Amino acid sequence: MPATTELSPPGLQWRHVSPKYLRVRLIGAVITTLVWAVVVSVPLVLHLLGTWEGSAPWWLWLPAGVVLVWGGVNLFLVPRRVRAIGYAEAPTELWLRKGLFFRTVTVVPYGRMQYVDIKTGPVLNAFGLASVTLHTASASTDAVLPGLPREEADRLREQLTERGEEHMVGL
Amino acid sequence: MTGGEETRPELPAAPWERSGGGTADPGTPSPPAAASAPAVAPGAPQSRDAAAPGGEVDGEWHRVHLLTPFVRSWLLLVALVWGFANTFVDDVVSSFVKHEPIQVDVGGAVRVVGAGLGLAVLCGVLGVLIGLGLLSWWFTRYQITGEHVRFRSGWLFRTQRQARLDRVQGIDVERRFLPRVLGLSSLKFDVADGGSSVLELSYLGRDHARELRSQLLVAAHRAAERQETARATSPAAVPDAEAGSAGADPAPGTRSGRSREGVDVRVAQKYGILSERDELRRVFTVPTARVLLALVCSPPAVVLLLLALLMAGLSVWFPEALVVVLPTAVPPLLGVVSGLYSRLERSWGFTLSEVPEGVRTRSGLFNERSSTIPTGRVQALEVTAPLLWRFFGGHRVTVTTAGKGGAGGTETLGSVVLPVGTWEQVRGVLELVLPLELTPTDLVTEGLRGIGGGENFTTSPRRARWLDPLTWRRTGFAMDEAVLVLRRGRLARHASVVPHHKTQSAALSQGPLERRFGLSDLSVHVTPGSVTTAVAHLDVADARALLERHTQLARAARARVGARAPERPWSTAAPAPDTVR
Repeated sequence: MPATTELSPPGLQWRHVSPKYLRVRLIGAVITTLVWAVVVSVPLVLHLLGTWEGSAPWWLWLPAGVVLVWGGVNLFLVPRRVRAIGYAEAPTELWLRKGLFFRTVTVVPYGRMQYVDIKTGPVLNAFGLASVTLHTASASTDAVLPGLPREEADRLREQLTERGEEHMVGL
Repeated sequence: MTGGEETRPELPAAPWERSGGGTADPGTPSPPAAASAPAVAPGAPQSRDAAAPGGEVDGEWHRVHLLTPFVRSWLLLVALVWGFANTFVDDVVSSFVKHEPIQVDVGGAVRVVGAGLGLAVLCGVLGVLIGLGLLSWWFTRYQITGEHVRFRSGWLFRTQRQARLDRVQGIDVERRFLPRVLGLSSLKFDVADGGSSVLELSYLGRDHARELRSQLLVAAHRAAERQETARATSPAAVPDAEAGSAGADPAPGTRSGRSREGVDVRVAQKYGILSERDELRRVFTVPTARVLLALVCSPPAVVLLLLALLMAGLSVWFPEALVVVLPTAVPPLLGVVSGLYSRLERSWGFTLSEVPEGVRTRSGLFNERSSTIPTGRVQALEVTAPLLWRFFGGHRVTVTTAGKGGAGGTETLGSVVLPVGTWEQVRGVLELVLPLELTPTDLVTEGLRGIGGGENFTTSPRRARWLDPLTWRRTGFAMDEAVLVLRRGRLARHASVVPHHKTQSAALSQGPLERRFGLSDLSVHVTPGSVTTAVAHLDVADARALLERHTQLARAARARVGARAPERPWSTAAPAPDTVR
């Protein structure tokens, strides 16, 4: 049961991003959590190593603990977040949805697309994934599909470009 | 056109003139000697050319009227004279009256004894001022070529401003009070660049200005026509030899003929060359009284008043606290004053005129700016009725125009089409500006004044009052075949209009708190600009239905617009030949 059902009209064939994207997000979440944990525990480490005078007060453990707990909750939520990302190709529009707590459903008419970006980073690339971004003349259109398989991304780009030309309307 | 022009000798040497007349008549044999894309026929001046703007449209540098620097700095002159009067005349007169030896007190430091010396100093200073003025006059020049108007001024710091004649939307003869008394006028050029400063030729003798204006209008006409011809011939993108033969070819001839005809009609409306008065249809000018009233009732003015009250209160009860408070009050005070000033600049003398492409706005107190808003590119419009303007019925209208957002400076001016106006003016502006066949005046009226769900509007459900205690009955939307109208705000009331065929995309969003209340936000995405196109806290079912319906209507509207005008998207490269028209 997708989280955004009540925001989107029925009868759309929703597609999900690649399951492999879950691993990308997990790796990202772990790295972010660790980096933050290291950053916030600098005073603690300095105390423990004896660079700073005295023994570490108990509350110095708090920041690192909070970050780690937050990271754990995050890791637990990542699968549901990834499952919440979806897209549906209607005859004249592309529907996108995302978000678990803050949900969004976006409609982008094909005729409004100005260009389509395909991006991939080192981690995404290692999993054979790419992210597709749709740009309209509006800066507030937030239409990103992260973690599509390469072939699917290329297919989608071709499809969107073709349909965009078909339905193109001037500003 | 004034009689003076017809008697002016034609200047066949001027390069602009040849290219202007050649393509005018498709029947004129064009020798294949054309050097550039617009086919050129050097021979046989047309009858219209007999009324050529000779005169100063010759690329020479001309000087403005001799009195210009003194009129420009009249305030300074008045201040100086006042100062002199205060320091010297008083002393001189009183000593004459008392039959005492004249003692002139210059600032208490230097004592100049004797009227002669005092007068000499006065004359010297005046002489220096006059000399400076003359120097400034000497370096203030203007040049009019076939393509440009250039205005150069300053002898220490030189500035040159120029306007392309083919982009000139209109030329006004302006007469302010002091120049008017002295029989001077200035010419004001409105250029069709977004948010550009108005170019002003000042000052010229009254008759001279009028005559020059006619000449310039004809020159601008020519420039626009030439531009049009160049555009008509350029898609062929042919090398020189082919351009020549293309000029003789009947097909491009008729094409340029048609475009010329289009230009003539347009230009005749636009410039009204034969009429003496304003060629632009001036829709309205905001009266100064209302500008000032709106300014007094604006947030910065209220803040200023509060600050002043605070200061007054402090000085009465805690005078010693002022030492601390005054310095800290300076930065916010500066902010408030600059806010007031920018409001004043944006609304002072605000004039909206109709031009062939859409509307043109002009405003400014010290730095006049103009901006052309092509109606077809208006993406969204917002009518606001601020709380403090309610008692005199003031409204503000802003628009978002494609290609004008983002760049902050131009956006602020380019987006206001009515800084403060009556409801009648709002209606007029809606008619003028919205790129629609049927203006949704009723919906906007209800959007601005209505409260609670009406026959057209769907508002937030009652449970939204926990999130929007004040505004939940106002927040809402209405839709017809062509537009979406969003309304919000209880104290300051807003109504936004977004034509369906202009929307880029749309989105529904929902946060955790909204989910508990079963609410959802809708935002419609348009090109960047100052108009708010989102509505918050709708019932989820309503919002979903709205999104679905809006998507359908937008699809239909796009199809309708696409079928009516085969507009090419600006992303496609070479325009098809049939779009040249």
